Amino acid sequence: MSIRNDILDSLCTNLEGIKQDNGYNTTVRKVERYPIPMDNPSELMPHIFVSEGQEEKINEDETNIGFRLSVALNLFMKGQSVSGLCSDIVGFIDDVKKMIYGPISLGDYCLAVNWIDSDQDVSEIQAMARAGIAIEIIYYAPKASF
Amino acid sequence: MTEIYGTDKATFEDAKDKLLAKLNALITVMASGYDPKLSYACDHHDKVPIQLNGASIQFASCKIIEEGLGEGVTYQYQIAYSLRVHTAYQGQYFDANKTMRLMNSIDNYLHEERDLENDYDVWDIDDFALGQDFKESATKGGSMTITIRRFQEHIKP
Repeated sequence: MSIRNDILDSLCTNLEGIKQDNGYNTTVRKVERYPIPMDNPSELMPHIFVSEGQEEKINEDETNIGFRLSVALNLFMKGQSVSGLCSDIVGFIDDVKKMIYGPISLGDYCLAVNWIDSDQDVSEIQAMARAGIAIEIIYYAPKASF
Repeated sequence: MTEIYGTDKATFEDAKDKLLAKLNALITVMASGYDPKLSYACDHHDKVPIQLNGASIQFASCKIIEEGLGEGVTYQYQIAYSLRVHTAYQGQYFDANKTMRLMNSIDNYLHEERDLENDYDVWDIDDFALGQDFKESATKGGSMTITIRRFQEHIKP
């Protein structure tokens, strides 16, 4: 049992729900917790690579420990034109905002998911756009669960 | 195991239990028809997690006034408890009005229910503060101080 793994898997499952059919701007084709090759076939774009950052212990009581886990969401998409990609990647970022403030539910142990910041860039040569979104997950775990 | 030497004079613990009981009674009173309502109460601030909207109390300080001499010495204990109202987790939207209303509800209820029985009563409620960031619980909210009074006799030396 790993509460942290469960929360991250649940985050991936939620991100997989970003589809135009569900009212989003983008239809995500792949979400993974490991880097996806940049020469990923176009049919697997757009994709999101979820990477874990620092985990900080923020509080503790007799039975539980609270953590703040930094998570980076790396969004990739391909397009036909740079101008189209510039607006599409913003739409993709907005999709993640919409999902987080739905509000998102990552299980009983997750107390809060907070947006921190984002950045983006568009590659003219590869006709590819990338965005990096930093979020934090506040969660707790019983000491007995480790 | 006995927790406190002098079990008939576990004043700080008893006062805390009585205050917590009042908060739990307020949860029942506010269960329907109130928005915001209090949903959770606990007797220490270092609690993980604290369910929102929640309140936590913790012993803060005690002022003791000598009242008189009889077979023993009677003291007036003015026991201050820090009360925190938790309405949001860190990094999330802090609703100042919701927090203010909850603090107002707690204040009104404790004034109505001043008598805590067994010679304990709510003596004072003050030090209201909004916009607090509570590191121990990773929450945000407001705080206030509840002072409970009790007369306690100790054996004359």
